[in-house]
Amino acid sequence: MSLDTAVIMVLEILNSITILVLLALGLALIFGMMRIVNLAQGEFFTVGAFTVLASTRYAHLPLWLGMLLAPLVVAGLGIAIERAIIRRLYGRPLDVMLATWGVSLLLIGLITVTFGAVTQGIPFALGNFSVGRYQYPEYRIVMTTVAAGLMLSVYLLFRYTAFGRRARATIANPDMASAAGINTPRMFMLTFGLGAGLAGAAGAIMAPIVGVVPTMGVLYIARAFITVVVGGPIVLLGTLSSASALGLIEALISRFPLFTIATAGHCTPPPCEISIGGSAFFGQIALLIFAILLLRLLPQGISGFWRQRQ
Amino acid sequence: MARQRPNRRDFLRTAAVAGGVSVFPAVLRHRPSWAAANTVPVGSLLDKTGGINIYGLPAIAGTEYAVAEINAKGGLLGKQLELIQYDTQSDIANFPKFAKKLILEDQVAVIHGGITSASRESFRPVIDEYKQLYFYNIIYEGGVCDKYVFVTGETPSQQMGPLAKYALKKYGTKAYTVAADYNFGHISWKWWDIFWRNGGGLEPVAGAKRGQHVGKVEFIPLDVTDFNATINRIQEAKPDVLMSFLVGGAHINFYRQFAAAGLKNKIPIISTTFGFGNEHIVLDAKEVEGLVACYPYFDELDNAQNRALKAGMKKKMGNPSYYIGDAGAESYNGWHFWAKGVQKAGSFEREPVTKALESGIEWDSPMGRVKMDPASHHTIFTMHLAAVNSKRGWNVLESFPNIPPTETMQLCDLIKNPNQHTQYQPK
Repeated sequence: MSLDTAVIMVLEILNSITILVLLALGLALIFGMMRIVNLAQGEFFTVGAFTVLASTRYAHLPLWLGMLLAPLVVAGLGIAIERAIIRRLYGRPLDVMLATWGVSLLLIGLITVTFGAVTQGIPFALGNFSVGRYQYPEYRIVMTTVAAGLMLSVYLLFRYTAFGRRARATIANPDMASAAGINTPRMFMLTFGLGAGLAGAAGAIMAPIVGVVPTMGVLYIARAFITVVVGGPIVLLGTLSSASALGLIEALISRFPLFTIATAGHCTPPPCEISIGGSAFFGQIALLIFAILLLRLLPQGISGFWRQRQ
Repeated sequence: MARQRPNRRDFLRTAAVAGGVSVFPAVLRHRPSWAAANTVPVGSLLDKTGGINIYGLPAIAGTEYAVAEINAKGGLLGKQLELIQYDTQSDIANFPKFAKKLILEDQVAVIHGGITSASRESFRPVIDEYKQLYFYNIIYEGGVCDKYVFVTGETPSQQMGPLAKYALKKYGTKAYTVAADYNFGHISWKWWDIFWRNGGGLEPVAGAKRGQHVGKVEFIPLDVTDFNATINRIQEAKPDVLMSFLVGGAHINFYRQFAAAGLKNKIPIISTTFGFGNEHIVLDAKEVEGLVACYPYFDELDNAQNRALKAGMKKKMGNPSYYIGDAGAESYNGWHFWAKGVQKAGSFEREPVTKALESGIEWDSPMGRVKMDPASHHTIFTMHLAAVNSKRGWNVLESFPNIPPTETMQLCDLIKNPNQHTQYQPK
């Protein structure tokens, strides 16, 4: 393999990991920490993307301002939903699932009514750089940087600030935290809002490279859940490591054909064969199979395995 | 929360009742009598929502406009048409379900619609089972040969012949292909391989340059939105031209990501699908300017019928820059073909209408002269090769009159052999 191909491979792997991290980070807080199966998480992502669309196309704000606005809007929406609905359902996981599914359908409906059911695009600066024979868009590097920045800030927030300590205490043992004087309902609300805001940020960052359409959340929610579940109980590092493992597998299988299988029938040009690996389709399949295998072998997820070994 | 487990007896009872109900209407089916009523129900199955609605919405607009136009001119045989539409939501399971509903409950005289070939093949068995007259009004991979089906969309011969000749002359002989991963993409690829390697014909074209493939054809599922790896593989293969059979809302991102990698001016794109869902409106002009496609209809065509259609559609949609597109115009044409068949037959019944349509109906549509080929139930068009311009529209480069759907016509003769309900594919 020549050097430029190797560099492009690394960039492709980074890109796969970046997308999984962006999708899963908000859910890592809401589902990983708070154990809320939030089926409206995909729509938080969608609302983030539509915030960018609305602010650039209709309010004529610059793109970066729209992207800064998106997490704030979605965090506000998340807090409102937590106050109005989820707060009443803590400790009732199935009811929360049903309620958030309803919220998801409602949000899709509202966005469709407001913006129409059409796919819309957000044009962005088309910068790119050369790697040997290849050209690669700069925006992908921006995405990776932002994802790393978000990951690091969330880690620092929960590790080193008073808010983070209180939030962790609240989630670990709400009664004890409450007895120690922490306003636990407020902590739940803020953590949920943060998780929603992160999903909004992900939607905003990915909006320019994917088409913006009311049902876009559905395309991403499964990957977000898979990443968080495979990550296991140590939420942030678990999510990072599972995104890395799954992203690596997906990028590798998307690129390299593993083997070919001969098939029946007449083909032009002959012979008839299906190449396993080497396309986006097999990349997706490999991701799913790998996730299943990991969960079979490490039922507690990747970080659960670390914990067991300690 | 109190939870009740469903017990088996309840389940069986419910299942039996549900099963009975779903069989019941079929037992009651009788031939509707459209002659007695003042209105005639007609049906349309199109995706108003979901990923395929980039084609569904323009097709719905064309459908509504055509039916309203027919009604405004006094209807058909003195009766007004009552248009019954169901939103199939880009979900294949909805097509057989709603097709049955249109046939059994609504008792429509004709069904128009279906967008992806997967959706069409999902309910064509229903059409055949109930002997229902059906119009498929969209570009597809060709080969459908069915006594009950009429096609007003274009097929591989009509698009790929001109595209292959143009690309060989203008760009070079090395092509890379990306295709949507379902029957449309796979069958289109087989035809494209034939046309490309023969230099633009089903048989080798004498004196023409022959195309070749670099890299492997890549089939991409409809929900893939990230094309990073695909784009890098295309760069590795260094093709002279890229052929795209990409489909649907998610795949629009391919063109944007391709341009973002700076490839737009390095590797030209040709496509049989780009544009009929008005992708050139969704994307920025600088992302896709120069992309070449081949359709029988572009809004830019200049003739009296098209001027009237454009003015009327802009008024209906309340949008002075509304773009009708190939999907909209073909739906419009489909309804008018059917209406002409009904008028000629003097009846709404399937058999006389089919016979009338098989008499070789032709008319001056907004696309120009179009003709229904009696034997194959497919449409003969004037095809136009056009490039996306800088104003989110198309510049017509070259026109080819009377292009037949050869690949289907050479295999399908429904006059000689009427009992066919199949789809031919290249061997």
